Amino acid sequence: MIIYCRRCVLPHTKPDLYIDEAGICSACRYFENRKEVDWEKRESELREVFDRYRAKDNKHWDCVIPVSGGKDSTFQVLKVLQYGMRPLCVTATTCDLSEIGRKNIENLKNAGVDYIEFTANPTIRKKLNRLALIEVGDISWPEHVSIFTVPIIMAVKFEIPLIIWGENSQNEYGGPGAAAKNNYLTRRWLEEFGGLLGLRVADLVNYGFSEKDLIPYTYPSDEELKRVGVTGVFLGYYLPWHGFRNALVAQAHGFRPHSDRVEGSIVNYENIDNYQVGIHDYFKFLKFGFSRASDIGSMYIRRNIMTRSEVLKLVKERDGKFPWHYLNKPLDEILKPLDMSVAEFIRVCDDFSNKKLFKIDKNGNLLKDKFGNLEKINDDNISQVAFSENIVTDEIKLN
Amino acid sequence: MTKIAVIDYGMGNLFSLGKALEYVGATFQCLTGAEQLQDYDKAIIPGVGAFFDGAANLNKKSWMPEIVEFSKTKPLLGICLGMQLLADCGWEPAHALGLGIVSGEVVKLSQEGSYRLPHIGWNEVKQEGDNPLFNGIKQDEDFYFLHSYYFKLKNTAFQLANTNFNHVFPSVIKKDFIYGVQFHPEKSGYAGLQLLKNFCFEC
Amino acid sequence: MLKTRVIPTLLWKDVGLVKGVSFNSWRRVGPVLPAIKVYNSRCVDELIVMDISATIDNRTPDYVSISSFCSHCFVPLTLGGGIKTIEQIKNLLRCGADKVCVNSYAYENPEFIKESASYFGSQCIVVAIDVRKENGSYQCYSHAGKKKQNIEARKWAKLMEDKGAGEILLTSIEHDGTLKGYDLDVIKEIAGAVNIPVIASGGAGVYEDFYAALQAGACAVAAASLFHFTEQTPELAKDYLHKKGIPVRRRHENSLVSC
Repeated sequence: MIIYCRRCVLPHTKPDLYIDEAGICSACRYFENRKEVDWEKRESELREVFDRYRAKDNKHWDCVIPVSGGKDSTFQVLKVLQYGMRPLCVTATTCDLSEIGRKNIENLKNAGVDYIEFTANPTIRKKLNRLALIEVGDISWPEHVSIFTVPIIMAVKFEIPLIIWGENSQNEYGGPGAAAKNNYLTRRWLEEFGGLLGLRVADLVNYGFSEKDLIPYTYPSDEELKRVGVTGVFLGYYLPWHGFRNALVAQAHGFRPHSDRVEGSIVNYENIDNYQVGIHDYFKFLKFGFSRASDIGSMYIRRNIMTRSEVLKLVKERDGKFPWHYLNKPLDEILKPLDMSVAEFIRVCDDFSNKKLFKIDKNGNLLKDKFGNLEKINDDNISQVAFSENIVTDEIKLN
Repeated sequence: MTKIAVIDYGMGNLFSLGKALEYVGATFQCLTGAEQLQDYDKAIIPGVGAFFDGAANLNKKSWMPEIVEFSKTKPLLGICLGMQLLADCGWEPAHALGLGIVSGEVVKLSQEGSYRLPHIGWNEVKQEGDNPLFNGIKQDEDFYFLHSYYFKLKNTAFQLANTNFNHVFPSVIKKDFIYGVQFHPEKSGYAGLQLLKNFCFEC
Repeated sequence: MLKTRVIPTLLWKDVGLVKGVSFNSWRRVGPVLPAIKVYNSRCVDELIVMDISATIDNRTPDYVSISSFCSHCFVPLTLGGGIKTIEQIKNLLRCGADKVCVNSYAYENPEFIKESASYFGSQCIVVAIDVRKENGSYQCYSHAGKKKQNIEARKWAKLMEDKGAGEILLTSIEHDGTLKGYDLDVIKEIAGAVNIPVIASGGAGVYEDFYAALQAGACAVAAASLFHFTEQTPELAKDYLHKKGIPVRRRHENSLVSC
């Protein structure tokens, strides 16, 4: 039986999500507690951080901002510029950059920032995508490592101690208390919460990759980090984070969403830079029984943008559908660089499907509809006590 | 194409062995009855468990005479209990008769020494001469052992490799076409897979 | 020379892996299969997978999931959780397990250990003993640390050895998941009381902890949190032990995993 939060629609299978005795999940509780936060105090803390770490001379940038060109990083850059900081923006090029992704990167550059686009060897990246998909069921594993490693490498190389990340994913999506309050990104945080699924860069030599192949994925040593004094902070700790608000602000400054519906999602303004995201999101569904539509829908419920029953309907329609295409690119074309056929892909999908979450036949085989979609054992709690839909949340304070 | 029979007498980790044989590209079939054994080119006797029950199970489906017949002319590999069952008799936990293909008896390892019984873990296999079974496997390579009893050979000429556990014992035996390995090659990483491959294609 | 084993442990609860602290293990951290595949690629010495809710849920082993894990696992595997019958052990071994681990049921029926060891050989039967320190002595707990058994660990370990257990998997409940080090006193006590191998479990946080456990009398060391949640790996743990003069298995230069 899958247990769902009574307020949003996240399931208990989600790693690090805690559902309390009242049936409310830790992500919802965190959001409730945001009312308690003294955001003015947090803002002045942010100013202090900026003052402390601003470069002491004019030969260094004031901070590094890891960016993708997406709505959140666009918002981050605009915000940081408002405080008079001179950032070095760093993009670790994504695995399969889409046209709209490229446009939004160029748009971000035009916000008026120095920008490094670092592209790891694509031949090696494709092999890593394939390896990660087969071994840990996460095609985006190398991208993930990259996002957390390349900006740190740049910070060390250019002697910039302050790195400004976006939201602490442990906050909105739930997580153990201390980590949710954690506003520093350390190596230990990365290993524990960074979603590496236990696969280490050090393991890759077992698969035939050389150390030189892995330079872009190799985290700087503790000595180097200490020498520069590298510290990462989450902007989401200092400001109330709203993906939707970020999208509106970013759009006002030239960010463009996808022109069509984004497969598996209920919005068209996020995760539009990488064609492989459809596969990533699908595997999340296979492993945990929920995906992008559930995540975004849950955020909408907390902010009173949609009701729970509206979200459940959308989730049923959109979540976890077999990714025949993403951003209108067909699956076989997305898999081609990975040297993988659709048939092989389906076998890997079946390997990683958690059979406890989906309907199976008497031989233990997954039941699929004519499009290859799986069906969960239950889409909602069996006894969902009618919950008041007039919940009052905090007002969305917009700057 | 070499066809390999895996003898399923109800006491083996056939799943792991099957996966390993698949990995090395062998063509094999798990046989639950002895009738078709002679149709195959090579055979493997897996084994997890005690000698007494192993022998009883082999007798149940009349495996014994068929295996003895097979071993006269065709390559046979006994793994762990499968190797021990090649002996005249064993004592785990009580006396029972084995296949009698290689003379000797299966007795308990000694507890006199720095190691505790059972013998569980990775230990070095010291090859005592060239043999295709060891192609590509370095001397003193570690293999995974999981047993408390060992094969005490009557004729030490059949010892192909030895291992030290409180005392030296035969970890690999060979007589004519017949091989026995005390360790589990299907669970011994690269070296184990190489050994299985060698048996399937070189021996 | 027999090599000392470094054994990652996976705690499997219901739908996925969990991380526990002192056996309070609500925290889900992801699916089991990727972890198995990764450890397999690292050619670890052994792997332990414990289904920690099987006894409490009073259900049989989940053969469907277990078969799926085993089909990706080429390393020696110990499976535990809810084991009560010879038939279950037979099925687990057939599925691909090399050893099975019995905990709670042994308290209900110690003769089961004798029966299993007799049929499968002692080497296949691991008895897990979970302990808490109370009033200066170590007390046994079953049912994922919830049920006190009113027997001292030392006495229980000896009894299990007499019944034919092949190994003891000894876990300190208080230390488990804390990354603060093993309870060396209990390791010393139990290793001194029996003649079968003792695997230390519960609390390892750094490689030095492994060395300390071995010095205290353990024959092998198991760890979960250390390997899943820090940058430390079984490979580097063995490098450390090797430098300390402990015989360990090192990676073969040809051991490439194809994918």
